[in-house]
Amino acid sequence: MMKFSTKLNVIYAIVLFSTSLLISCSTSQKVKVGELPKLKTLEILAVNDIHAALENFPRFAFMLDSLRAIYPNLLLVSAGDNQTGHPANDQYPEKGMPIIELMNVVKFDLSAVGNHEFDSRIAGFENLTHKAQFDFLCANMEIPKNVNIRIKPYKIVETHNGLKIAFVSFLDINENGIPDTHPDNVKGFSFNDPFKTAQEYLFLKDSCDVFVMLNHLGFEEDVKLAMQLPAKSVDVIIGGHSHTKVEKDQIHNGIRITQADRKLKYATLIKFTVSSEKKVDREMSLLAIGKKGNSRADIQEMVEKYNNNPALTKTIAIAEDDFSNYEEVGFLMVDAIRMVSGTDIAFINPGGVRVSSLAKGPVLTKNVYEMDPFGNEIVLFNLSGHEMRNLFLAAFELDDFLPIYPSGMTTRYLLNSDGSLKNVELFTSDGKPLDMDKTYSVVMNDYMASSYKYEHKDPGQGLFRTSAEATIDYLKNLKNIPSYRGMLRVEMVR
Amino acid sequence: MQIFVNDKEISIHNGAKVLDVLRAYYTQLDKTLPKKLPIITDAYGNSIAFDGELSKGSHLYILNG
Repeated sequence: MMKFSTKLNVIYAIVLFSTSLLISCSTSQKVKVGELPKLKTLEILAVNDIHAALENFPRFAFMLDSLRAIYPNLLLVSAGDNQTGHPANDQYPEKGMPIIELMNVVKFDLSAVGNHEFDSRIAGFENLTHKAQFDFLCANMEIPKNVNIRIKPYKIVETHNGLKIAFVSFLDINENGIPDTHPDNVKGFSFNDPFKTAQEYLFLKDSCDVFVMLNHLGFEEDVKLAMQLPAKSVDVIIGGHSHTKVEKDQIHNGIRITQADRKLKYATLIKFTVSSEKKVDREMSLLAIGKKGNSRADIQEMVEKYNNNPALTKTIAIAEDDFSNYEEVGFLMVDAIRMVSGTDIAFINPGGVRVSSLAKGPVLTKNVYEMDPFGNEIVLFNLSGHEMRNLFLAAFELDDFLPIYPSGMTTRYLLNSDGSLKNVELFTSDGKPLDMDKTYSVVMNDYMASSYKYEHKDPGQGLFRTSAEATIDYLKNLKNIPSYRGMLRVEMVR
Repeated sequence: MQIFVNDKEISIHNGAKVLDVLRAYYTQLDKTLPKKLPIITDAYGNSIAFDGELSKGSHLYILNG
């Protein structure tokens, strides 16, 4: 007798199949009955930017099983950035392992390398590539000889019905010539221009029936790439990075481009039909995974186990005294981002500190996520004293007339009788006037980096690290947190 | 890096995400980011998530902001 869950799978599969027939975006052409050539079919399910969306994985797995009931040879691929975005995954003792284990269980075939794959640092990513039961692809990266990371430039997959599918992958590199990650995470690696490198892999077209680029470039960059390639030279570019929801046909220079939002909210089903003359027709449907619905029980159990990760309730440091107001907690957080970033100065906005107390005794990982729950990333600037004063002046009203918490310096806010700000004076940590003409390295969170309108020359450089993660690392290293009781770094004078 | 919002050029830190650029855009207009965030699309009409990563020269359009 058919199990209840299997029945549900089949029903779900029929609904999915019917829906996909209705909403699919097709480029196939009609042929007369009697002239049907011998056709071979292939289906790929593509996701991107999973970002450790553990909670969506059980429903995704159920949908996947339903699709496999219709398409038993479905290929499953990720366009990169499987990592980073969920504390249970990011703080796991083997950082990033939960999402790899889940991808293994549902049998992913391939993944592009996204910039966030490097968040577990070189040794961590190296380990994850060996634990993954699927291949990672990236063709525009050169791996240092001393790094034993398991990444291929391309892979040719042969299907049960004899089709050869070539997958190649390209990763976005920024103005600094590396992917969007901290430079230390890719030390020794070199990255080539994805657009030039892509031209070198066009030979794959001749070795396969279907040619797919599994990229982590961003949708607009994928369009740019498609326009630079020979027309129709690639059957599909499956993309990621920009978290773009491609619902309708996006065909540029004869090349179809897909992307499915992020965090397993959607998946793209791509169906190929290959004629004996090697003519490839392809159609796509964006399938919603949804917030509710059936889920796979074994995957749900795995997710619950990860969420009960003891690392989240582990003591990372001991507070030697109580922290009893926002300022004291804010000073601790801002010291953490300055020390971890190694800069002269750091700032945190008052709204960036979400708890007003921290009890003496053990401090747990989850306490840090309570203090700093926003996932804000750290941004590095080179600012003169004058530019920092401009920032303070611009921020005061926007921050509801509350001062910024500094580290590496102190401030004196001079207020008018109505509470508005007249001026801000800047001092070194030992109370001497700050050299206003000197340039200082300064870190702040990305909210501050983008919200204040003030004159400054340096547009800033993201460090691709959240302030919460930096605080956790700092506290782990510090072990004993000294008393911040009564600490005064900001003076308000009327 | 330079990003275009409704065809207006915005200078923002490298590594900025869609939400960062939106904040900077509204700041440039001396406005605050609406509490109910607007729908954002790219130059091809696809919607983009607020945590979407950007490359130099990306184009964003605010549909209902």
